[in-house]
Amino acid sequence: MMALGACLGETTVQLSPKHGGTNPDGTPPTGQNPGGPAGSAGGEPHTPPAIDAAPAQLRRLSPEQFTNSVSELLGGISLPLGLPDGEVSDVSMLTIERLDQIAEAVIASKAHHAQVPCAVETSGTTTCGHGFIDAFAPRAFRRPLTDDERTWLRDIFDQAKTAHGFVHAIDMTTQVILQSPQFFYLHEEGVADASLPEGVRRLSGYERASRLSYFLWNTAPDQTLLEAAANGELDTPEGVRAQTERMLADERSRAMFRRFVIDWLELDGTSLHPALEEVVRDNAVFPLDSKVLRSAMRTEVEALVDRVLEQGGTFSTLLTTRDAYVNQTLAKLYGVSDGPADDQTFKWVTLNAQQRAGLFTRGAFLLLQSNAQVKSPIRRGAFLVEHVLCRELGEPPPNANDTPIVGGNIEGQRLTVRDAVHLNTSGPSCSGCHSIINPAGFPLDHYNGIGQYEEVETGKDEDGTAWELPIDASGQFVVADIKDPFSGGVALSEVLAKSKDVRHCVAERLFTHAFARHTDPHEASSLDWVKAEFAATDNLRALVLAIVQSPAFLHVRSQP
Amino acid sequence: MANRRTFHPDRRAFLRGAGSLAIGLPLLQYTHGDAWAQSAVVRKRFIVFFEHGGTISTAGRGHWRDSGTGNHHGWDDWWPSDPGEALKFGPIHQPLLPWQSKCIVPRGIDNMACTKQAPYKGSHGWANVTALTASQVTTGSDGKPKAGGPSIDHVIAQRLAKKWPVPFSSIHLYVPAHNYGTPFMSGASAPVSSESDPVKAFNTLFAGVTGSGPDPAVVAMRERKLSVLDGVVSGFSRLRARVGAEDRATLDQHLEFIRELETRVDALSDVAACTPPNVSSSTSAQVKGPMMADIIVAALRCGLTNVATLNVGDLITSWLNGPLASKYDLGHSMHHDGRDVGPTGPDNAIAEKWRQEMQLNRQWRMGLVARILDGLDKIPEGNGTMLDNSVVLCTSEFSDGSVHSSSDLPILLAGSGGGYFKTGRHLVYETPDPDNSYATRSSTHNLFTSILHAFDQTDAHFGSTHATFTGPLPGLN
Repeated sequence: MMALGACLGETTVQLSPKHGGTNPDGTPPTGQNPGGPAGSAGGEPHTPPAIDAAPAQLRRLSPEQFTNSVSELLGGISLPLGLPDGEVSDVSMLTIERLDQIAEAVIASKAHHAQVPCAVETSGTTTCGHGFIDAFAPRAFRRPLTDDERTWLRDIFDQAKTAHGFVHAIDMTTQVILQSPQFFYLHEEGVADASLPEGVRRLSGYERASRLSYFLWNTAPDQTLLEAAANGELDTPEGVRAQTERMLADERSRAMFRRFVIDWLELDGTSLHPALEEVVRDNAVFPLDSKVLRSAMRTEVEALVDRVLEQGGTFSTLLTTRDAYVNQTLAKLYGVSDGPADDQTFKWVTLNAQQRAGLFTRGAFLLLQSNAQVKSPIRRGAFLVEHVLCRELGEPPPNANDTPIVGGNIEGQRLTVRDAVHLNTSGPSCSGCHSIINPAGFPLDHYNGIGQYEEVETGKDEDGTAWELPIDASGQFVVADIKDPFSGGVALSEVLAKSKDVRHCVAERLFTHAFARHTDPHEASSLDWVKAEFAATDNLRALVLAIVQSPAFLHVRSQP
Repeated sequence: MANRRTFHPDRRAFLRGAGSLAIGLPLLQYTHGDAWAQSAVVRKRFIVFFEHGGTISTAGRGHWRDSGTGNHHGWDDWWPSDPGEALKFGPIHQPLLPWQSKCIVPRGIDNMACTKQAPYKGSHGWANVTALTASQVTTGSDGKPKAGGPSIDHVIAQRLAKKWPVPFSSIHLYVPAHNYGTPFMSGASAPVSSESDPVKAFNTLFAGVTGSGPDPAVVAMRERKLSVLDGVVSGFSRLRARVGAEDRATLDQHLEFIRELETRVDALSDVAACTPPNVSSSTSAQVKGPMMADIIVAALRCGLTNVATLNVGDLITSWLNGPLASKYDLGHSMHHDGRDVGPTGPDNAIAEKWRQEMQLNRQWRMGLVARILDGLDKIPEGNGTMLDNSVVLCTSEFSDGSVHSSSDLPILLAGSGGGYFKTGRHLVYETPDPDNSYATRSSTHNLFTSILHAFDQTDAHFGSTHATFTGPLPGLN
């Protein structure tokens, strides 16, 4: 086993197969016995990945990547508007309008004038204009220009200069570059390499630089990365690893992990539910709820991700830690007595060991996966099954009822939420999915609709008689490698933290995140290998290193 | 620049011709304080108001209606209050009362592209991708249904833009909330993005529109922008040569949009002087909804577009302080309770409150339509008003959202398309239903064909082959 570098936090990360550098292109060697995995949760023997990759496909920059890339290109310019939110794969008329408006805004800001190698207003010459193109366009396109592209841009500059003068020509050329497909799309061709299987090409250093940079920093490659590409450093496994480690040590990679976890928990909302800050909860039922609380919940999740990374990046810690970063209101929600005295101040506290563990016993997740007036074991259970165990449930049939299920006195019977859920979902057309969903959600039944811990459920009969019922928080994951029954949120967190299926699911999600598209069948072997690596290491940084060193990340197939 | 002519000489020549004509003749005359009208030609406009999640309805999935004696309620509040042909609005349409004589409520129209293709005769995604496309659905690599063709608004927008060039062939605005996907498509598997920020919509639409006439700066900007777009187009041809067939399709689609932008920029100097609407930044639907309606009215008055759509998510109207305002967090959850408020349903105790909350919610949506109708009806044009020369289509992907039914869809038409539709009527296309059975031969395919005819088109049929018959709905015109 080989240690993968020292700058990965306090812990030395182990990546299990030997990366002896036997392939010239940075892929793990094939045909060797890689030895057993390192960690405890893995346990399966894993084969080295086949050298294969998805066919080349143009990928557009996401709205955030586009904004970041313009900023990277233009010395940190902050744009007054971005591309349409939520559009990550499709391009619409709205995208094209915004591209045009963004280009106009950049021109108005004159930020690009700082990149011109002469005094723009006074001494503009054709040589200076061409010099600008030769320096600026390759950075925008993240690679050297082809001769044809140089001719194209110089023609535009020359014609505009003749007609309207130097400044106008610089402006126009910049506008063309910013709206060009060469900037907007990531285009990969790869390089032929006779040592590779038929149809598979090695990605060029520049193409690898873009993949790394958009994955880890969500922006265009910086100067160091482009130089590494130019020097051929990224053609070797050592080079890819060294650059990845440099990037992982940078604050921007933390933002990637934070974004990953926030997307995972759907805190920004989806087309099916609003964001954490926007979702309606009934204040009459939950008087502690407020804008301040919602905001603190998000802050807490981000701080937790940062802390786990600072402490070495052990994934299961994220699910089990009792460390919480709270302000006064959030401390109150968690029943913590030593929290800060106001809501502006946050501090780290330790939560009650009987009541709380990591991410899935915290306010952000519990509140969002609830109903307006009551907790929702169904939403929580379905989330865990689909997004934490990666088991597809499919769309509910149209006769599935989406009305919130509340407990209370129903036709003379005093029911807990659990009882009512059981009553409503035990019919034959429901039980197929709900026998999976419900027991996954019930263990979180001690947390109410905003995530407060409750010992019992209370209710009132029609005549006003108040009553309380004990909460049954027993449950199990019937579809995973962790089928043993357990009870409560703390046990649930421990079970998830040990599950190989959960690690496989997280690995698959980050793998998909790295490519920003659906996984291709040609990537199956790489994905299996990455999953096994993460199951073995339980380490988020090691997961990133496995992804970027997998054959799928370093190669491409020719597009038919 | 030479490049431009190489790429699409025909349209460019046509547009140039139209532009110079406008300079020579006083086509635009200041008439009504904040709007310009063209003296010679009366344009027709198409507006689609799409509300997600359906309405208060009894239409089941299949050949039945809820009788209102079981768990489900028995109300249909989209229906007119009088069964006769003279239109008398029911509860939901009350905000539209001043325009009752200018509307049609056709009943018994199904989305047969959904009911005949979708699993269970109707479900979330299927209803949305067929609602305005009436198309043959394909299943994408992600397992989700994809539209097989463009939506009716896109087809009309493309054709009207050829007839009456405008800066924007269509505009798409959105009040976001829970939904299962946009119904607007620019082609097969090509969903349209709608703008959800009123300020950004304003900046896009009204850049260069002034209160006093075409802005000389805009005219100058036009030339520069056309040159830039020429340069960008040229970049596409370079990349196109280096990619595979699938990516070429991606680039070609992108290029189509760039060409639309060129057309729009070209038409900029022909835009009349008019008054832009007031907008401000907000995330609240309560504020955004009316602003979006105002933007549509102003854009139509200013001649910026011929086609506009407003798409409202299934939101909770908590600001109306209805009786159940804080019981639900999603409109769709509230609607689902409709299955439990009937006489034998577990939520029967709140039945009246539920109906009241739903009515308030749906009336708020109709209030947005009222704002659009009001804005258009105030502008005299030709022998009537701008509203009379328009067709406004209000609809949803569902009738009864709680059972995801695409039968007996909520449909309302306003404006007559320049006298084509005979308005003020309630038209029943379903067969009588003594025993709560339900049957119809009419589909949205036929409705959309009728709308095409209202815009002087001669298409024999719109959409897929799932309708019972081809051609327009009888009796609308």
